Amino acid sequence: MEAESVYQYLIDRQEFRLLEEKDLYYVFLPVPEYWDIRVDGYNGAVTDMGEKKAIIYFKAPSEKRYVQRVEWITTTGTVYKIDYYGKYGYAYCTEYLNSDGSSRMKEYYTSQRKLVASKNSSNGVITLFEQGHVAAMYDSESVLIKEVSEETDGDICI
Amino acid sequence: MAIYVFNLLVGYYTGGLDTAQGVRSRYLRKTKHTVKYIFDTVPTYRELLVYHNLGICVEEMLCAQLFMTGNYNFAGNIKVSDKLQELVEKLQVNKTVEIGNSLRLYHENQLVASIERKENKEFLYQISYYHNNGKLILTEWYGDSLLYTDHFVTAEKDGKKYAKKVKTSFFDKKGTNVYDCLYDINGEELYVYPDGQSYSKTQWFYKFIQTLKLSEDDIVILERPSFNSYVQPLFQYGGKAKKVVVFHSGHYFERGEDTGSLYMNREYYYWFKYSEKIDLMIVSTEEQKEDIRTKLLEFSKEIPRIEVVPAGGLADIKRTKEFRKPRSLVTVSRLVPGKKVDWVIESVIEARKGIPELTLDIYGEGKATSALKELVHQYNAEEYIHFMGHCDVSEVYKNYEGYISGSVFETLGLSVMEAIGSGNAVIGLDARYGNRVLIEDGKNGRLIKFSPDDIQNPQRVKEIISDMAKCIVEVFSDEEMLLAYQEHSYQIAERFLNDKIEKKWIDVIESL
Repeated sequence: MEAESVYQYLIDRQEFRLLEEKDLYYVFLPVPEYWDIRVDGYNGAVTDMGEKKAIIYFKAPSEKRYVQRVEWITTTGTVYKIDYYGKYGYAYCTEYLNSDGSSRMKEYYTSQRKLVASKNSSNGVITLFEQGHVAAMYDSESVLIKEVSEETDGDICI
Repeated sequence: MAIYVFNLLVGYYTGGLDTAQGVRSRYLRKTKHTVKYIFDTVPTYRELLVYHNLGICVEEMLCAQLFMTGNYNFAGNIKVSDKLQELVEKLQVNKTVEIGNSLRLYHENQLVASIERKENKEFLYQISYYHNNGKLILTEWYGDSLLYTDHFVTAEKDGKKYAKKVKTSFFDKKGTNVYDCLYDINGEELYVYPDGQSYSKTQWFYKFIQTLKLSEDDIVILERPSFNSYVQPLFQYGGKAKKVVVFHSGHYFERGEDTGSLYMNREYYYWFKYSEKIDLMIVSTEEQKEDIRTKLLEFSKEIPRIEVVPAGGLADIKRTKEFRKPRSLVTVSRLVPGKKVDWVIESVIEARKGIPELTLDIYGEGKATSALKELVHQYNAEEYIHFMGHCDVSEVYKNYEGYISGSVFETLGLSVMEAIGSGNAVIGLDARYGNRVLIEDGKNGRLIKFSPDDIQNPQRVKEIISDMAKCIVEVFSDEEMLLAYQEHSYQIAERFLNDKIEKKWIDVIESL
């Protein structure tokens, strides 16, 4: 079992509706009203009054312009977070970065943006959430995977 | 109509300014305005308690970050018993240890969580989560619901690992994440909203100031350094709200007068640059008022209305029926270089040659504490010079005959004020500003000849210490004079009683 499928399992447990598999076409990325989305070389860009706020990277094949990830940048170009988009067309994972580009933490969300899990990049600790509150903690991803595998009888696969 | 006081400080030891804010809160409550004290950083529960104990009601405190979620009620009703049961089940807790107001929760002897309880121990305000026996991962802060969570990563500095706060998530009353604050993004805070909007702290304060909807009926009191994030937004977008700036420090320092500033105090640059946009400047002494006028003229800047209203006042005159400890001196201050407590110590050691019973008690703490203790140790003076630590000193002064200060600058000097209110004879330097108001040479004590140039001149420092020692001997050698000094201190203190200061504050606020 791979880690991403475990997180998807944890997300699914807290989804209260069936989601349609549908990639997100980049123009319809949710942004504040009047912000623009445009082509930027091989990628897309989110702009506000001409100022670049984020870079959109596409899934393969890139000509379909489906969103794979969005890298949000400061005014000086530092990427501070990356939103990852899955097959359901919403940002199921947000990765927060240090100024040097290294990872601080990853958070996993339902389609309603409810926090489900958090992975601390510095020490590997996984925290699970329910209704916004801590539900469980694991010292590492492997401990979490083992427990989920046992819980599902290894029924989850990618 | 409201008064907004910017700001209450988070993350520092309380000092004179915080005390002054607490004292003044009683005066402002008597004006026709409602008063809100703004935290520009989220306070901990302990900081709420500190300001509450200084006199500011919790209902008067407003945290900007929480205000923007609509979920800002600090008064909580989350029961410890409910949460404890929940955590025991979730985290498989099999041992609970009670330490004061803290409950520590263990799973197989590993610390996994702690609950911080309020004084009554029935309600909680914080839950922290740990892994690997004590490494902090996450902290939840509660009011009447979850207010915000702090997220930590393991970081390293100087070879030591520590829990570094990287993100705070703020929630509305329904538990929805409204926005996050990310820390140390190129060294700065970044406020990030789920829809992609992001703001520097200053830009974010522009949103906050807009939300306050300030009008010409409102008054904004600014009394922290002008480089704080909310200052430009307040001046640029604060509408016609009256802007009052309060000087709690010097605006200009000669070399050596202040350990952090030389010449123009950078904490107040903005007040000078935009003096024409300020409705009222408040200072504690006439001398500083005149100095500010002179400095504004020197830079060809507009002189706004300037009023003298002492930053603090005395609750009462503290007379004592007990005998004061004979030949006793006390000094109260943060133990930092600018207070020159080393000069006080050396002068007492010198004076003791003339007054063998002389003692000195030093109240306060600071980064110079260990160096000062070492100085006392070098002179084998521990028997008569005592370090009393940091504590409530309001009832302490009246046990002593005299107060001594080596401070080379005081905006007003709340400690000296409290000393004269307790009838201490006072010895201090003839330094700007407060000493010249609170010490009348030859009437309630002695002002030692002093110029800021002296600080860098070792010969003059020796002479000042020697002069202080001579004054100590003189004051304690004439019982009649000592009693006269003490009585005159009480007379000066009458001018600073709360009711008089209160009237000045109310008059000046109502005049805007």
